[in-house]
Amino acid sequence: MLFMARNGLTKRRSGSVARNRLKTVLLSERMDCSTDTMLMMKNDLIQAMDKYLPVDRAGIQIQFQQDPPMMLARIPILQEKDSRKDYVKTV
Amino acid sequence: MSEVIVVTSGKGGVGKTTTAANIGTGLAMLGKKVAVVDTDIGLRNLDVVMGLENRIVYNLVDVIYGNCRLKQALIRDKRYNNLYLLPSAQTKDKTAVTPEQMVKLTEEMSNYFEYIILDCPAGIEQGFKNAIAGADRAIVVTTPEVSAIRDADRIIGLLEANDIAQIELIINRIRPDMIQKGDMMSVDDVIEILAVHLLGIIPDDQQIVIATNQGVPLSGRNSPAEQGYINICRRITGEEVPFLSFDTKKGIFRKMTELFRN
Repeated sequence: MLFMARNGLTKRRSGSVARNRLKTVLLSERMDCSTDTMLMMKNDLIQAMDKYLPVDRAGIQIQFQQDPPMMLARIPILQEKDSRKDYVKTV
Repeated sequence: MSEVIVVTSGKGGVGKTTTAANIGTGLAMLGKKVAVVDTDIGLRNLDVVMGLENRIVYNLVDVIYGNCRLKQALIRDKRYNNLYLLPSAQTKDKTAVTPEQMVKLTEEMSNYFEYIILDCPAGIEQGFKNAIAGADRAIVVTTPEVSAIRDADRIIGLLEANDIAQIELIINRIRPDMIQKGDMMSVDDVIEILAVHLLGIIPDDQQIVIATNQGVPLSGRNSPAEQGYINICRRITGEEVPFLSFDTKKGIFRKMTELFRN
């Protein structure tokens, strides 16, 4: 556990870096849509939501599914009264 | 009944030819009548991996052009008399053959063999199109690296677009120690990213280099990679075989010494 703490928690291991980089690049290739366009789409989505509801930007997860083709966005909404509990809206 | 299986990858150097040679040999060991075909025209390799380079008289292009009969070009393996190699031409290039001619060739071969394994060239150009033209089934070989997986994804898309019904994945050169440390994508990671059926996993293994040096695939060294290929061959024939597990859990003594070393 000692060496886990020293290596594992301070920086992300290269295996998961590779996985995340691949997911992004394959996604844009499969959809024939550049990573910049995807980032813009993500930002537009957040802005649109943000007009009406406070959005937890750090907690946003966007996934693309192949079969059937589908985009899944998890956008946590900050609640003013109880900010610990948030609703999740799937678009 | 006969099955034509293309071994492909997109990226070069991930182990297509080694895989084709080992699957051919493995299926022959299971008693099947098998032909392995090198479709990489101009860059012949399968013959040296199988140790049959000195026996070549005619090649694939000769058969297609009618310079010889199919049986004259087929080379019988040194060890298994139900395994044959159809070598590629070294002097021509990929444009020497068309996909239609490859379909005709694989159809003719289907009369004599239960399994026809096509070793596909790297890339997605003419050579790839030729190799997949006659195939019923595809095996995509990748390694747990970003470049190989990206190319495998592209190849899977092209195979689907060409109506290859059965597409399966082999993950080659797995390093269990690196996966355990988190420095290599795991089998599950790769499967999740590519969303394709897993046919088998091959651990990184020095014995494969040695067997290739000697030109004797699956030479009974009982190494992890050979076991992986034998399992794959059994799965190809429809048998259900559990996947290799890499139990790298260390004993208490190893754990203690590592703790002190750290």
